Amino acid sequence: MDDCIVVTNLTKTVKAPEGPLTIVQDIQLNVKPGEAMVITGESGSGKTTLLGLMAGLDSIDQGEVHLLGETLSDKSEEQRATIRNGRVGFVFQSFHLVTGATALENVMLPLELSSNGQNRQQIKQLAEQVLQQVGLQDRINTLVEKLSGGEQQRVAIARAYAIKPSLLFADEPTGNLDSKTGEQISSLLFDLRDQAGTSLILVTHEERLAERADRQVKMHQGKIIERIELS
Amino acid sequence: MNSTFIPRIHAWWLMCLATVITIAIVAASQLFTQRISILLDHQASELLAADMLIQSSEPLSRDLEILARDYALETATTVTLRTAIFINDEPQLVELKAVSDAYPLRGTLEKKPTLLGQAEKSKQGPQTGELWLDSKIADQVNQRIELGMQNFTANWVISYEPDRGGSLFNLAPRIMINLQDLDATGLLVPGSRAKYNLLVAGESDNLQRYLTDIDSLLQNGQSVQTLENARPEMRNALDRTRKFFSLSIVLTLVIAMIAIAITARYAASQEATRVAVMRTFGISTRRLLGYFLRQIFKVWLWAIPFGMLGGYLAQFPLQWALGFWFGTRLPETNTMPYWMAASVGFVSLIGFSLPHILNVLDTPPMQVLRDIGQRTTRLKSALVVVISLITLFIVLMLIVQQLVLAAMLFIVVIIIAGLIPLLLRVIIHFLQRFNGRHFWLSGYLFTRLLSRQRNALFVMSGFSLTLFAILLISQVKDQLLYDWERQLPQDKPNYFLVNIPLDEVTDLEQFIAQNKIPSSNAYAMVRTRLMSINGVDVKQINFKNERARHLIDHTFNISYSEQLPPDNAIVEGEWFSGMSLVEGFSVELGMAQKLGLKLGDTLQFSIAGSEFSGEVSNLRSVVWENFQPNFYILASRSQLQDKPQTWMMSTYIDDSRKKLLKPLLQQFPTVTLLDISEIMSRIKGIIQRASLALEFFFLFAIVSGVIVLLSALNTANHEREMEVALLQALGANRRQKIRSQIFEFLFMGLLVGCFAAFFANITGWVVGFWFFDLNFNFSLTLWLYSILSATGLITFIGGLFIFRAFSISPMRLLRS
Repeated sequence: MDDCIVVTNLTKTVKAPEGPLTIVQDIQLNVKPGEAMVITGESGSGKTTLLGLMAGLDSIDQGEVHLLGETLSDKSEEQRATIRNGRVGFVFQSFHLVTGATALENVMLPLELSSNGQNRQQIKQLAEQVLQQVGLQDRINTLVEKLSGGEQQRVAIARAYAIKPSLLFADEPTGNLDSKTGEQISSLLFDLRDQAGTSLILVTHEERLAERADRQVKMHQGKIIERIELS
Repeated sequence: MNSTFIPRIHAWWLMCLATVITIAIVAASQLFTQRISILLDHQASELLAADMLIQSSEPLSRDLEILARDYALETATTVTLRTAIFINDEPQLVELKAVSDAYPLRGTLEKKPTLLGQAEKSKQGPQTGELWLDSKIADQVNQRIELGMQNFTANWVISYEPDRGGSLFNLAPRIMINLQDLDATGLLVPGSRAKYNLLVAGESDNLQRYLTDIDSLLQNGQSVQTLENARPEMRNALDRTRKFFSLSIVLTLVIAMIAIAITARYAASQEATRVAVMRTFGISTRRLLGYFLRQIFKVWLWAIPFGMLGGYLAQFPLQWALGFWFGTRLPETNTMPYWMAASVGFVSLIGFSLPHILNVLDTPPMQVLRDIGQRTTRLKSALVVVISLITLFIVLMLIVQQLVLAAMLFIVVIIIAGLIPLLLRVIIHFLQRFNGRHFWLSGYLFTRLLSRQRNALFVMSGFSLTLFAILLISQVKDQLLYDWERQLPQDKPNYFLVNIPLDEVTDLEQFIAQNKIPSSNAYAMVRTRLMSINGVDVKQINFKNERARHLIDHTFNISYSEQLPPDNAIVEGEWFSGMSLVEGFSVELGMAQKLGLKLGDTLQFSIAGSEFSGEVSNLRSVVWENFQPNFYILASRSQLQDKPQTWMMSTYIDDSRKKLLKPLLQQFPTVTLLDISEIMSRIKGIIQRASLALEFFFLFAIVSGVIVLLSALNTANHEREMEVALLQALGANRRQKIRSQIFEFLFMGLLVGCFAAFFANITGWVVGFWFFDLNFNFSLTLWLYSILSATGLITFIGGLFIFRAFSISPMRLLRS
């Protein structure tokens, strides 16, 4: 089976007051279907930029990224969004939930956007199932701002998994949580990944999160400095 | 990164713009009303064209004039009455003023040879044989004008007449002749509806003594106006204008103040990080407060010149639209309105921004390390509300300068300002229950509209109130102008023939019959005054009804008839039978109720000094809308047939037969023709201009609404960008992103449009029903206009502002 992501000679440069600044430099990487890869490194090492480039959230300056068999470098933002639609899930450090809406409504949001021909009732049932999977069956109709940080991240994970993505990107998913809740959330992420067989790319500066991954990539100053096969 | 099409407007500039609008609103309204006040206060003698004026609806006794001369006072006499002249074979109602040689005693007339000619001052009115005319009919200058039985050549155009004054119903253009020529015209016959004025001027001591002495000479219906009580109708007009404007100014101002408050909150939120940084450097609260007060002061200083300029320019359309009420040039004002505008601007700025500034001063230094948000407590929120309310009350006091009126307006504003957002909130909550098929289009939309950060309720409230006011004015105006007319019968009389001498009635009726002109019966008009009811002087009776009070204070026409007039029906009692010699009165039912009359009550009337009385024989209902001659009181023939009287009738003369008017008036020169359609069209003109003035004022409110919208867009800009980025990360296509945002503005516009149209329609109907007895008219045009204008304006500005947020990089989600 083809790799989910193939990164070739990827470089990203941005304008800075002191001149062009290279954030990601000459990256070669691939992610297999069902594989869990953790990208680690200290702050400013370029790991979040790399995640954004792989997910098609940012435009590519040099090199190439193949996401789910599609070339990203020649695609517009609109086309990249179409590639992601219904196939790629995200979990953010700041959750980015829709406040004023319930947990259920938040999970239904990507399902509606992916418009796979499901009716509202089917979408609702699916969302409820996923919320049950993340242990929020009692908080389905609670407004998200009334949930704890850990619960909010669970909603975000449910939202990401609801569309049954081929690939899930998680950016510092435990960064805003205490260590105990963080552990629960990382367990949940890997458990769901095990059940669904989804490829997982997780960016973190916490080395311990790499324990359950298949592979760890360490970054420093925009470059991959170490690749560790864990399983 | 600047992510919007229109660069993000700096919060302080938006605040400045809101202050400019506030200052402009106050300056414009104050300049306009102040100019009218000055006109009344400082030019009273000129308004009278004398120091004192004795007015009467009957010829004044010569004794009054002789007595004035005994006190070494100057006198002049004027007589005014309405009549018709022919211009291009079309009858034109005019207000004729005949003046004695001494007129005016104070002030000067101004006349021009042609409309565009050079004006020259004149201490005297027309000489014998001369005729001066109004600029409205200036094209008749140097033309021959037939006035009753006399021919004149129009010599001058009147460009200024000191005592022209203003009355809402000053409908007819002026014609001025010398008093000595009046008799020859034959227009003044016994019973004519004319106003006789004796103008008096001289030393104040002599005037005072004269005033005391004439008290016994004055008869009922004769009034004295001095410098102190000059032109009560103009004072009333000013008072009405002030009250009329107060509410609209205040409502417009409230929207401008909401704009200041929201922009201040936005400015404060933008300053939070700066405050936190300064706090970490150990800068004291006092120094920070000083810095913000200087900022506010700078905003005020910037706003003053632009606000004043806006107010100065805005008074001209107001003057054009409403100045005609006062019929004369408005004098220049002093600087008071500018000071007032600047003060209101300052109070509003301080009052509405300071609570937010005080809140931001409380920003913890930890804010520099991580975004922990503002520490909002109930006490702080209450402080914002209390300071805002106090500010509002101070502003109201500054504007209306009457505690009771200010308190009433305060309550009205609080109710309106509190009720509209509350109602909108309830509607949105209600709609939330009916979640549409797609959460991202409907539920998500309602959620965002209720978000505090969005300020959407303020935006919608501001626009709703503005649009409601504009639509209400337009709705009431339309009802007055068109609906009322539409509800009248098609073949209603269009001309009233009045001032018909008794000895010409039969000939005139023959003329009408020969030419087959549809007409009503002819009725006598006898000018009379009600003196007593059941022997009690009417002045001693406390009438609660204003119409009743007006009736007993003035002379009015009563008539007599052998037959019950058409469309009249006896409700109680019996009609006078045949040539009855019973001295009775038939009273219209409504007036009987207002005067508290019943069958058998004795009424005493006075006609030119002679008195007569009789009992109420019957009560009648009258169809007033039939445009036929109708009277509150009809007497039996025996009581009135020998009293001074003129006659009247109504006719319907269609366009094809208007050529008959000229021979009619040539044969009956004293007859005055009242063109109802012309009067209607003049009233329409007045209503249109008055409503235009108000609508113009609400333009300020629209600008304030746009500022509120811009502030709200600015405040929620980050939130909005994050929403777009999230949708994009979740795979939404461009169409979905645009729809998610544009639907928000479309829905806001739709809600505002429906809300404003619904309440304007209902309020318009209530006003029409209670005041004008009109039926409910569902106005589809009003709804369409309301919805389209609200959705168009809000979506256009909103869409333009957030245009580039659609292409926001989803990387913002990872970086935030």
